[in-house]
Amino acid sequence: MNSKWQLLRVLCKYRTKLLVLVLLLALVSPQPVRAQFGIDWGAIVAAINSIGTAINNTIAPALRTVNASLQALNTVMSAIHNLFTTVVYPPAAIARARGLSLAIQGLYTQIQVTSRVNVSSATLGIPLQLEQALLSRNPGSVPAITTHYQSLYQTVPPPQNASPQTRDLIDMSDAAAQAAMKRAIAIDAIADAEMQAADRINSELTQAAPGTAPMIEAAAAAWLVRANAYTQSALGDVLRLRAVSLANSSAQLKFNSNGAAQIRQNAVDSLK
Amino acid sequence: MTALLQRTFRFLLAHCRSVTAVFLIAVLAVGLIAPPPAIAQFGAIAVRIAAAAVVSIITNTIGALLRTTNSQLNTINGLVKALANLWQSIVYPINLINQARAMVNQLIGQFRGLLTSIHSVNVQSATLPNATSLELIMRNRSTSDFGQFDRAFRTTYQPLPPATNLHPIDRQRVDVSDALAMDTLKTLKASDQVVQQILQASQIIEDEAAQAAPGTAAYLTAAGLVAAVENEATMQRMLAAELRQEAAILAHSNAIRKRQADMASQFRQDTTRLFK
Repeated sequence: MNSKWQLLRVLCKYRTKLLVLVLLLALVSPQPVRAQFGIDWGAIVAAINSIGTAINNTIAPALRTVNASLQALNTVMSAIHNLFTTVVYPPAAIARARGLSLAIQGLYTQIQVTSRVNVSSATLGIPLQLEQALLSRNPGSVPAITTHYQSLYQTVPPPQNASPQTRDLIDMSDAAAQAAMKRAIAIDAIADAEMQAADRINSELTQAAPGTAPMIEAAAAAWLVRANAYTQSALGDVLRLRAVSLANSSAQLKFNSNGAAQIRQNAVDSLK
Repeated sequence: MTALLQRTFRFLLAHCRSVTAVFLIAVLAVGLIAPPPAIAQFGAIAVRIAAAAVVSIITNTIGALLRTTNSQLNTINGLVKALANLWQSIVYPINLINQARAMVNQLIGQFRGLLTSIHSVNVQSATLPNATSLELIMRNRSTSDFGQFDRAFRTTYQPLPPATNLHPIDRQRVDVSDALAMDTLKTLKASDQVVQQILQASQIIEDEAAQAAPGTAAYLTAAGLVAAVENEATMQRMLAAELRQEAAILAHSNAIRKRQADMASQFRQDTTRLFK
């Protein structure tokens, strides 16, 4: 207890010197630094290690599996690519198919030239006019057919020259013949249009990609269906004309039988 | 203990100024010597917490996502394999592609020559020189000998009678009937030539079909359809020619009927005049 009081007395005695010493120490001592009291390196390293472990245990195996899956996918995709480039769509076969359309185009040009060859054969004026209109392939010349036809085959006889039945028969036959001639012009014009369309489709085919070729195929199929319909229509016109001819023959028989009956009746009447 | 506290209190009261001075000096010294708090000094715990959060994200979020991705990749892989199998063994099996090509070659070998020989069977039947000549020209599939054809036709069917021998109207009708018959025969010569060209086109398409790939078959189909349209147009021209011809036959017989009506009327008038 005494030693403590002694120390206190000594401190009181030298208090001014001590104060100066403390102040000097405070000024001389180094400035504190951030790490002065130490960072918990162990904790930080442990934290980093735990992240590394998590990456190793969770991300790395998953990425290895993903990588293996992608590898397998790549192999399968390569096989598919190979199938398409060498078996389904080989570039050489595509080029050959396009070349084929070009080769056939030459044939179609020849067909068009052959189809347009002049077959006119009449020698006299009126027949020549009718024939030219018939072979014109121009629907604009249809109205002229009636005039040319009547110039050549005459009109329906006047009522004083033929019975009403005969006049009906003649008029119907003229109508059928003229209609057939007009339809022939229209059909020729249609055939021209179809050949032009076929040319257009074929030239498109020379540039088509394998994926667009079926589209052109569809267009060609549509044109074929249309052409079939026109052929059917033309066949209908032929049948109509033949039906009128058949009806004419039958009507002639009927006229003859009526005429014979009239003669018999006249003979009976004259003997009465 | 109580006595010690009482003595200390008494001492502090007695030396109040000195104690205050010492306390202030101590505070000043500590303030100067003690370092300011460092960031890391109190951040180690925060680092541990952050690291735990990252680990948690890796384990629970990224890990889960990668597992899902992996599962999806497995599914895609399975699908692509199935697709590859479908294409390779069901849609485009190499053996069936080769079989289809072989079939085309077999058809070519079996039928091409046969059909060509059947199509070119000689059907010429005329016996006399003029008719034989006309028949030969009619069937030669040429469009460059129409002049020769005209002469052969008029030699066989006789030329147009001179104006002195036939009524002008009848002469014109004979001329147009001949002309339409000749037109049809010339059109048939042209269409026979077109038939050859269409057959040639079909042969080119068939040859290509023997080497085609499944992906190029559409080109050939389209080319075939185009050829069919051309062919249909040619058939329509033939039907148009038939229509012209049938119409002329009908018009011709109708004209005879008109003529008969006119003649009957004339006969009635002449008879009436005779008995007047």
